[in-house]
Amino acid sequence: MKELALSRWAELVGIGTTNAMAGLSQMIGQEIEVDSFGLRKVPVSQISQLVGGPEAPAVGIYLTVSGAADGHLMLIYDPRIAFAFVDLLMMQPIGTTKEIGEMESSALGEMGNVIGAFFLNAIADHTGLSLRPSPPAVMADMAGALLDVVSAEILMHADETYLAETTFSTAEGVISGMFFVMPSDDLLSVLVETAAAA
Amino acid sequence: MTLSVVDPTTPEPRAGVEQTLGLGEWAVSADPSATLTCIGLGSCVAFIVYDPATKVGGMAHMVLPDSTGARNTPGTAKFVDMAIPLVIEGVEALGAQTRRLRIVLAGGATMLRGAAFEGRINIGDRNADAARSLLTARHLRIAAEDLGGTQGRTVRLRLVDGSISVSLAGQPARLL
Repeated sequence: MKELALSRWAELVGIGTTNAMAGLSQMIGQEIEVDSFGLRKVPVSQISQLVGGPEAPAVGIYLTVSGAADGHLMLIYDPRIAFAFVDLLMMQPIGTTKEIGEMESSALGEMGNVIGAFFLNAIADHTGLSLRPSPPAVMADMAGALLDVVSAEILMHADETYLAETTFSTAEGVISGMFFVMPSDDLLSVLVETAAAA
Repeated sequence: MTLSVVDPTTPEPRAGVEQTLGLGEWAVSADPSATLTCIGLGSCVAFIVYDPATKVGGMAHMVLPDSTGARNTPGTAKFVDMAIPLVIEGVEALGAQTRRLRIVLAGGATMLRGAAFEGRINIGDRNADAARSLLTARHLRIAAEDLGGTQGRTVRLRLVDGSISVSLAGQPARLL
């Protein structure tokens, strides 16, 4: 991918992420600040290293994108961060949630809906593309197993991917975490073409 | 991607070292102190072979069922149809005999559940089916398998005795 196209894509993901964080702020009633935003090219086989290794317990929220391009988004959290999100969403003291059951999955699914919709709406506004999110799937398992969901699709066409990585925190320091956006090949090319034509 | 593929011409892993295979990686070994491991298999399938007579073993971390039409990297174990022959040829080169091999498959879980994902191609099932068909076509018998389900697995092969253990997240390992 050309450097210019890549920087335009980074800009779009940055806009989408900022909007997604704004949506999340509203949802949990806490100001969320984006501390850093970065884009890196990583071998697909190494992605799990960024979330503590393939055996690390993790909570994943996954949704597919349809419309102008098919793609997917995945959020991966350390379980402690996911538990804290559940506590904020369910308006209970941080530390209450200790596992992901049906109720917790449903709360995180709602969070995935909001993040997905805000992220894609911002990109749609900026590019004129129509991109719709699916209802999310919430999974708790080893990081490696969760990442297979996206890795298998990427590895069909490429050995590396462009991973957008955002670190964020709430003003009170209640939660800090990472937000990953892993585009599919198809979504990435459509976004870049649109950005390049703009 | 720089694949850390260990083929039979490279030096053996150090004694007692556990060798972890990432997505699309494979290894064979004749070092009885070695352990070959696939960590956090979701829809991926591990292909595991062991020859008890020579204590030679091999493993592949397979991601996708079929390399047809896909971007192809020679020597990768990303695809079931490429990985199985690589591992079998690899252990044969170290003195194992195919007819003696204990063959085990593990992984192939369905990670995505929910109404939105019904009808979607299930990579875990397809990987498992591809591995079974290929082995049947080669007249190779599967001694044990731990496939499907909805949870990730970690699988280990200890070359000292050929024991194969599988564990789910946060649960004790059991032998296959």
